[in-house]
Amino acid sequence: MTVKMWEAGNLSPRVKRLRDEYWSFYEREYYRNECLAYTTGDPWDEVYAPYNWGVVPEVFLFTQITRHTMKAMAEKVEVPPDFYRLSIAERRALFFNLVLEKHLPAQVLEGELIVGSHFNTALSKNLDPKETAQWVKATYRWFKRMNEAHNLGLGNTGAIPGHLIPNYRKVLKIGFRGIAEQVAERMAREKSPEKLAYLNALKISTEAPLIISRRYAKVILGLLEKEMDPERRDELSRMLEIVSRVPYEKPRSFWEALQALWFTHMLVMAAESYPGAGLSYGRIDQYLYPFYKEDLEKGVLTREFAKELLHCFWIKHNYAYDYQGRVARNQGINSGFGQLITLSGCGPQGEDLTNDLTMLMLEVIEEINLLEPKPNIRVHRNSSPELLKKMASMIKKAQGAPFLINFDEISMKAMEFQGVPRQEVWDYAPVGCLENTMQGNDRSGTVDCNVNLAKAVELSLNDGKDMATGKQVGPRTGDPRQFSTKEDFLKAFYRQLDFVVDHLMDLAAEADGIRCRYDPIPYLSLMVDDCIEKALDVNRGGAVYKFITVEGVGLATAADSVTAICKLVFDDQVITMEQLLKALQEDFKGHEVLQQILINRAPKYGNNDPYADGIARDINSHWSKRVIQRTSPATGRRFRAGYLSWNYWISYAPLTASMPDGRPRGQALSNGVCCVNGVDRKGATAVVASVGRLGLETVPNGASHTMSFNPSFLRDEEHIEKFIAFLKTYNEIGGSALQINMIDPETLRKALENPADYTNLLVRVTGYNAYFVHLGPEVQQEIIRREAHAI
Amino acid sequence: MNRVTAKIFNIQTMSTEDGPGIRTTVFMKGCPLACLWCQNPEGLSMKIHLVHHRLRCIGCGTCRENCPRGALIFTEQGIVFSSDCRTCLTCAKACPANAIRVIGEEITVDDLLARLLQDLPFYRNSGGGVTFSGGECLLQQQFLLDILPRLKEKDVHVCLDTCGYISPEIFREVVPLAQLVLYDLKLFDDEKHRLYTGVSNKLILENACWLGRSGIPVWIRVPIIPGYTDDEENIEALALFIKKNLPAAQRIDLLGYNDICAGDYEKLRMDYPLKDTPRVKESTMMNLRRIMEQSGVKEITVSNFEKGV
Repeated sequence: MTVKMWEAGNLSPRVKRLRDEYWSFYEREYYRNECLAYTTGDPWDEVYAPYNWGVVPEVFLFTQITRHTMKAMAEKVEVPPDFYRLSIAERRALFFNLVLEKHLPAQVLEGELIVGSHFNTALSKNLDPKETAQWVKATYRWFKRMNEAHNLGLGNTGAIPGHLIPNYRKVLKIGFRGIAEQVAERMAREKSPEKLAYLNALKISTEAPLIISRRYAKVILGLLEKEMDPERRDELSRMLEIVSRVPYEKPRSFWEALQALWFTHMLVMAAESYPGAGLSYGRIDQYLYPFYKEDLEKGVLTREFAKELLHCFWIKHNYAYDYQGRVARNQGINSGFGQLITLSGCGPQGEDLTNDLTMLMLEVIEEINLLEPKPNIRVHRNSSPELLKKMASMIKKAQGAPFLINFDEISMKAMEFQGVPRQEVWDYAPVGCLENTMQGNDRSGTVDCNVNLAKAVELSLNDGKDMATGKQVGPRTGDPRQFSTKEDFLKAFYRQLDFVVDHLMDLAAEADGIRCRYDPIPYLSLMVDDCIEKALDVNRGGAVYKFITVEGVGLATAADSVTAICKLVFDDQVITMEQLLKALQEDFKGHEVLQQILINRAPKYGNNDPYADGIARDINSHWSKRVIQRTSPATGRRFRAGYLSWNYWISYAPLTASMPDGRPRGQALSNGVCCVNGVDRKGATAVVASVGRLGLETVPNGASHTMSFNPSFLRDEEHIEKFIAFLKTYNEIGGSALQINMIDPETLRKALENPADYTNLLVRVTGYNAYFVHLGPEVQQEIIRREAHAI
Repeated sequence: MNRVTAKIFNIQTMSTEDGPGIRTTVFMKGCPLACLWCQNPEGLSMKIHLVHHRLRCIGCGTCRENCPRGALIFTEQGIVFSSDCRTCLTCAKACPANAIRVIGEEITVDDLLARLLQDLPFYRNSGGGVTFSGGECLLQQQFLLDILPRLKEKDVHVCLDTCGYISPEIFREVVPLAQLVLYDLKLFDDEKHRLYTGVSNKLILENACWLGRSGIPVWIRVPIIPGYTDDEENIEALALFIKKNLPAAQRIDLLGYNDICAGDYEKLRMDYPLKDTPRVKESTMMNLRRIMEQSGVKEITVSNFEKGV
């Protein structure tokens, strides 16, 4: 008997087929949602913007290859003769419509209930020769500098699409017809030619949904003519009606609402030429609920069919991964995307907003067993017990939650810090992974700027020079051997930290400026308040809430390193700075005893230790309060802090020198607000306390935190109650978000091969609790066997 | 300042098996019994044990250099602490890699109290608290008499996990200060009890009867050890005893044997008597549960058994 791995279940034959079809990338030659490039055909045209990919270091080397290959592969789109007389925004709107009308493929898959197949594009920038020359110069000059910063291990940045919640609520309420009316009404009030031109771009963009509707209506009509099966004919007839209406007309039913959402959403991805990363739905269980409820009451919808529709809707989002279908195994899927949906959470009076659709969607998530759309659950002090129980049982089944848990009270407090009024903040929703934003009026650039906090430690110990290359990177803060007190060292450290953060903010502002000037996105701006009212593109700062988030990477590594120096070099004088520097420069080779002292004799963040936690808190406070004082000149977007480390804690491992916490160069940095791997020796409750002490109320984005548990922790009702109590306590004294791993036998086997990587793996057995890697080999085998029996 | 100290060997947070809710379990040293299946051999004596952690050791020899008595012997199986060792702990303190584990520390009431109160929010939200276990916690009754009222002051729920082999005077003095007792009943037959645990069960049963009359909430624990306690006779006798003397017991936990502790015996260089003992079969456990129903106690839980056999 083995642990039952979470897999898809309880799906209708249709949905099962559709799901299997998605997973057959290599077989489905008839349909792959791979990137399709479109150009004006002009020799100077560009279709690839490096600043859209500035936070994916894996592709930096391929920038020029991608740029030129995409251009060479691009299909020509015939544009009208006076094209370049129009404003850039108008050109973009027009070009997009032309692509939708005449070029982008449209397919309906067998048995689908929600349609919309192709949405991966690389669209022309539609710039004239002069603009293009300026844009290319600015972009590649910026890219060179940013790449340099990355190669030195400082961080990375870009002006990244997606990562917001468009005002889908508005689309469902008034359709694009209603939005077009808003644009027209605004145009009537405007006199300035420049703004009128922009509003015209918005007007043109409102036609995009009409075009896509026509395309799919045609495809469905064609299918209808050939379809023999009466049931499918019936479905296709209904679908014909639906796609002909939405999303231009406001939806009148649950099915129409889902189709409206999918069309609207996929067009954003197509318009931004960005395959889904971070483009999120917000509180979908709230705004879809009236449609669901009404249809059930009218008797035109059953719960079963609603679920089937949702299953179909869910599958569509995963086709974003076709983008990298030919890269690596597993269809290239690295689970990178994060089209986030948010479930439950509190209302304006702290009341719980869980509804029947919330619970239905949880069932869908459990059954469909796919990566997208990624779910987050908002938990607060009044969360419904039914929801918490369902959550716990899903975590148990899935060897790790398929979702992330967002904690309302702490999240809201931090959003207030960035200026969201208390009477609004209850309606926040995360995007991407866990980045907190507002809905429908917010572009917070949640992955736009990523900073390696640990690098500041290295620079402070080397007079501002990168240890690997000897290059002068940061300011000269002095020879550390001359530091006579820990204040001397801290002064140098914070100066370097300021430098690293400031430098990345400079680069982020620069990319933001380039995008602002040359890269409007009128289609998306239709759905971000207050772009219409301000007649200002979202990439120009038209959103009500506009931020650039600075995500701190390696916090615990940095904090523990600073702690080690303060305690061991200055307080206890167990080692000298000289000895430390030598050991760091030689990556601890020949300095193993000193390395062990660094690892074992200094307090570590994650153990509820006031010394270590105090330093971590100071570092957090310092940089999170610094960034919020600054704005990007081009758009007025304010910087704000977050702790989403993505995979940079691995990318910057070789680019960050050995650290005073005992970490050798090349070993992964800490991630999110997790403690350094393996140093938590006081158990889960102490970890929670340390995270809670960081002071995350000055971190509006929220902070990523992962905890691992043994599956036996959830083995029965009684224990599930304890787990829920744990979450409640986390909500009170912990962080803003939590991701939970349930360790399975496979992991245990891996732990046998690499025990050093799994030192903190706790194995829970009834009445006994042990560190797995410290057990004798026979016992380890026994436990693996036992885990496989799921005690 | 309270100078009363206790010898303990572990403070385990996030305990989910030692009473209701989320708890912190304090494992106290010393035990009057010596059960063949003891889960925590390091708790048997008041002695401080030194254990060499081979996984952490970097072989620097700092320990040997610092030992004032030359008591450290390096062998292929790791470091052995010879009879010259006086547990001065110099080696452990000198080791840079924390590779010499000291099992057993002396802690004051104040210090322990401070540690225990750290997890108050977890206790509060889960209906949890603190459990004293071990070893046999009642052996250090003075310490308990001091700390229990102070925990009560802070509204912390206290649970005592005891084998019951202690003088009635001490038992009746300490136990009422707790809110819950986890009481072990292992073997009804006195001769077998002597053979397998080293002591008679007379005192244990006597204290159990008093406990039953006291009105203090009780959970009963029965270790199911194949070949020793898992026969139907034993369980039936215990069931009837409970029916007569502890009818108000809130629940009975049948705890299947597990040998996770085997590694500990090895580290302590003790013989593990129950080597090669198989796990309890599911069919056996279910049968024993059925028999235990004769106790009249409604809630009977089972854990740690081989499913499907």
